[in-house]
Amino acid sequence: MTPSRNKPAIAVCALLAALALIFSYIEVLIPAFTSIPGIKLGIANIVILIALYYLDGRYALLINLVRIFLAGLLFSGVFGILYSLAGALLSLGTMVLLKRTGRFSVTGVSIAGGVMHNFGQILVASVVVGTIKVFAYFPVLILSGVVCGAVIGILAQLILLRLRNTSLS
Amino acid sequence: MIKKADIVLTAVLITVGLLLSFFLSFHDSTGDELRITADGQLFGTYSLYEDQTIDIHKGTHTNRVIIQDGEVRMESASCNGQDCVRQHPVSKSGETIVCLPNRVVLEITGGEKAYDAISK
Repeated sequence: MTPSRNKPAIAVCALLAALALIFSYIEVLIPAFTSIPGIKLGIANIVILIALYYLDGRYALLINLVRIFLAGLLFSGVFGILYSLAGALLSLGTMVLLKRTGRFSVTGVSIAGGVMHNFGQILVASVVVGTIKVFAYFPVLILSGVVCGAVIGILAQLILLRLRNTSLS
Repeated sequence: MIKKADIVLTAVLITVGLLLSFFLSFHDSTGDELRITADGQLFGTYSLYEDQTIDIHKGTHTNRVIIQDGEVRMESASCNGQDCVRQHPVSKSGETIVCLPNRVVLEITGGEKAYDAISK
């Protein structure tokens, strides 16, 4: 899966990072998903999933880090970066491990990623607020993580099916 | 598109998440003090760690409160409604049992160290 030549891979990474950043921006623009705290569709995760399956985990991490720092600086500030980073690292770590087992489809991997992303965010929230009681809100976030993760996973899977016969690098 | 393993994985995630959330959010919320107010005045504060029976006499009203295993319940009350007697035992910080006719309020406080340090 790893591209054999380096230069095209870097170009593809840059392209995917730009796409992920745009998706982050679109997500900020959708009001329905910003009015409920902590609930996001996570459209940018489509790009991360495609990077994970089409390239590999290292590229997905790189693209995600670029996206988080740029989107954080542009839209939400330093605290936003902290929240995103905790969620993204847990989420991507879980997705890489689950993908490696080979037992789960893209959708299952995406669902786990969505839930772990929210888990990371609530961990940071409990540290920032200074009480573990914010976990009372966690069931809502699990549910949204599962639903959004499933939607994103199915979308990513559809895209990956169409990409199968195409070469990015 | 969706494998059986995905459904199992999702079920496991939801179960573990709910258990974790339940455990973490209720684990440290148990109060350690019972605060009794009668007729709007503080009647007394009692530790939840000692099992005891408290009788409250105010005029013609009597209420008997029992603290047992860290839980508080109204054993008996000289009121018509008996709502407070039927209420489930309380143990978590912020929970209350109110006997409105006798104007007796049982409130659980404490359970968070920072709060105790300020209020004492």
